[in-house]
Amino acid sequence: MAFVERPTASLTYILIDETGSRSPFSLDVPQTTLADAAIIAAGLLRPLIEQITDCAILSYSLTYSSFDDAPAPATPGSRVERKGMFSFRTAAGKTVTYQLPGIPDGVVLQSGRIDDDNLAVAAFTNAIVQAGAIFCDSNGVDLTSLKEAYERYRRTTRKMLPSERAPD
Amino acid sequence: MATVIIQPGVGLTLKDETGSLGQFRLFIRQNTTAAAGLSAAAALRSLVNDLSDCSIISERYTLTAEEQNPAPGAGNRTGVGVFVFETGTVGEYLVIAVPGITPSFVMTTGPGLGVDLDVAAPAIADFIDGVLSGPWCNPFGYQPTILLSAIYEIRPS
Repeated sequence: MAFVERPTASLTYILIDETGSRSPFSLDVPQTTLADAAIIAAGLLRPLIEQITDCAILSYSLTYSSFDDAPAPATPGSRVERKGMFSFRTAAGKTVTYQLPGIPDGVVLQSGRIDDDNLAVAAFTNAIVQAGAIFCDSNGVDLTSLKEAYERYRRTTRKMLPSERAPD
Repeated sequence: MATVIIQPGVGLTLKDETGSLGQFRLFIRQNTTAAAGLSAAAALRSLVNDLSDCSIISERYTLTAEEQNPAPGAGNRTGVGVFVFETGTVGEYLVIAVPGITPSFVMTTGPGLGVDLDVAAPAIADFIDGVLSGPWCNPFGYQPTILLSAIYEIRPS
């Protein structure tokens, strides 16, 4: 089991037309391309794109990704719909919540609260809020402390339906 | 119209016993280097692995730049300019599809009437040069060497 980098990083522009419809436009760069260099190149290409399209460019994003070439099987009984909801306070006094799929029984108390004294839970939350941590909310504001953590079941979407549903 | 780097983000894809996929995402401070971000992603993966019954199958680190005051869109995105580039390797191509290509770049004379894009038009030529001179490649890492064709397609919604 090892995480392998994809050979390329993906750059995606999002364009919008006069009807408000959006459409992506993707390019790739070699994985070894430095992020700063790729973002600069994307900025240089942007006006060249704008000259040949009637659409307007809303954003562009650069993604480096890697995948497990031999992932370990998931724990029996695991379900992505069973979420661990972690709410953090931010330095701006607001709250942001992140959901973690497949929260195990062992960290959930009888009340449905996630046991913040559990070693794995504590390590996870501390990594996010400890001094020097680089994580923040969507506005770039630091996360300062854990407010609450609990179990929540979310609905199964069409994509989450089991692939083998027919009787054998 | 100004472009702002919002901030980087880290994402993990998890898979449960039934094969269903779930996502977990966090944002990272704006001035974090890519190396630090990727390192944080790897560290986060280890912590999430201890905290979820699901199996982590992939991770990604994303930088996003968004227009603060985007200009209104124009035209129709269904008209697409498709640019095909040869690479240095036989059988490998780079294909780029630009939505909402300006219709005035479509040839109105010659055998390419209504299909080919006018590669002699300065804006089209500049774009092609921009692709050939940049760090761009196809999803397999093969970089473009020369334009093979540029055509106009209608791709309905």
